[in-house]
Amino acid sequence: MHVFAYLDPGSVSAALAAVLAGVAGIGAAFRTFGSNLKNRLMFWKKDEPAPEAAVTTASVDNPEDKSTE
Amino acid sequence: MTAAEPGSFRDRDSRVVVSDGAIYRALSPEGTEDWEALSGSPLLEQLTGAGKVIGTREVDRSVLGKSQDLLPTGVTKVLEHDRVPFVSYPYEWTFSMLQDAAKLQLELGAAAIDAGLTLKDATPYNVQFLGSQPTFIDIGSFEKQSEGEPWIAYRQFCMLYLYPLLFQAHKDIPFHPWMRGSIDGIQPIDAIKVFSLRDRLRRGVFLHTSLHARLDRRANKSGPGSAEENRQTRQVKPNQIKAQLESMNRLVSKLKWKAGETSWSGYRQSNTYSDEDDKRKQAFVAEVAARQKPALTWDMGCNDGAYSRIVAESSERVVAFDFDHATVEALYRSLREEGNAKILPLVSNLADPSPALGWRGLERKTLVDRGAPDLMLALALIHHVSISANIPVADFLQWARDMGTALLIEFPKRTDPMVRALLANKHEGANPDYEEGNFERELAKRFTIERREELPSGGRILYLASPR
Repeated sequence: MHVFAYLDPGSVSAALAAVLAGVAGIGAAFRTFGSNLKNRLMFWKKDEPAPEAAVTTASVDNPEDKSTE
Repeated sequence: MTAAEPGSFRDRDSRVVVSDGAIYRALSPEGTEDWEALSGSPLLEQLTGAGKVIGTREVDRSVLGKSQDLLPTGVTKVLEHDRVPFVSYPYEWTFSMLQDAAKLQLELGAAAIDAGLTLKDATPYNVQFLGSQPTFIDIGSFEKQSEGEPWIAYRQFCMLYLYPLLFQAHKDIPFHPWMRGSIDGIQPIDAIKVFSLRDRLRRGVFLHTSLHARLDRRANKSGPGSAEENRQTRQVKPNQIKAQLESMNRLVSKLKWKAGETSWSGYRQSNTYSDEDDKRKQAFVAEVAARQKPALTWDMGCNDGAYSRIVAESSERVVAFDFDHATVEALYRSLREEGNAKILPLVSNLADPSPALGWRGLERKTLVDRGAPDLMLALALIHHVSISANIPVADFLQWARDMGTALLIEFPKRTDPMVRALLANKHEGANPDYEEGNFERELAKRFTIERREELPSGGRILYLASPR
């Protein structure tokens, strides 16, 4: 893969960004899994948002997430 | 007259052009492809409708006249942008303004990924404030995703957004001089020197600063050949970049600057006005603004923005300046809460205003070059300028005169308690030009005094002056 941006991303920074993206991706996957699991376990709560919507919200707003920072 | 904007040259696929007050963007063939991908998706309309991206439309290439050779691969499309009433720079913003701009940058980056796009850079110079509303202005930043690429602008985001915010939040170090000192921001190896061991345990500091700096240092030691060796080969998926942007957004959103959490710096409680003086002054300002209906007003030394708000009832736009960061931060927060789109609060020291910066000294403009006001308020200001900063009264008035602006100025006499306090540590007879008679003579040399009113307590005089 080659980077042809007008902006030099810095080779070290680009490598670090790639690693951090991988870590963030794993963090997001865990959040999705946790959220799905919670929704299944709390199935009697009819007014919960649909699992997919809940995942999106969780990935944006979950204050407990410290997976990548 | 059509001219390329001197601050827009870095991207070879997109260049801003100014013509008779209109703002155009010339696009290369590749830039045109990216624009078509953006304008063909619902994203642009959503973002423009929400005021998050500047209003943009296609126009005929003929608007550029003979300037068709602005880009090395040619110009294939031209866009017109809505005009930003007053351009401001991150070294004039408050902590929350920079934080809000960073959040907007990250939010747009994540939204772009859902539309198969990405943002090619991450600089606060691509964000402008319409009053208290941050708006992204660089449409040329959106480009089609390249398979496997990481977040290219990660380093730039750290240098121009994250480190300045971390400095202010964790160390209470003002970011303005750093941003003003380097147009590209703060290098990771410089940023890390500021943080103690304890700070490095804080959220985000270790990964984005400590580790980043360590890797930089190692690469620097390896010499110039290491760039090729270190070339990034890991394939990154768009959803991973989106997760990274959202993670960064959470980090940025949680940063807090303690001094900014406190309310006004106490001026209004400690000032020397009587209630009657204050009422007369408010009425004077309101009457002048209502009669003049200025398009742009500068409120120099705005403090809590009380007079900016009065003027804003009659003025299309107000730029409210004060050198005290915490005061302007409090003003920004209250304007943001109100959704005020008229008043733009900025941190600026009149005695040391923003200079021209960057390549050829033309990339970033001086304060005055960004548009002189129609009316300038200088309330409770001249004694600070003249006595504290030692700028001669005549020099200050000439500066205002050179801008061709009407001037609403307050002159506190030498008997005023605040003036006495400023003179207390100076020798007897210091600042002899700061005297009512001399002030009025110097004012009359440059301006026609339209109105003069002494406030009831007798210590201060208000003048409305129009340039001769």
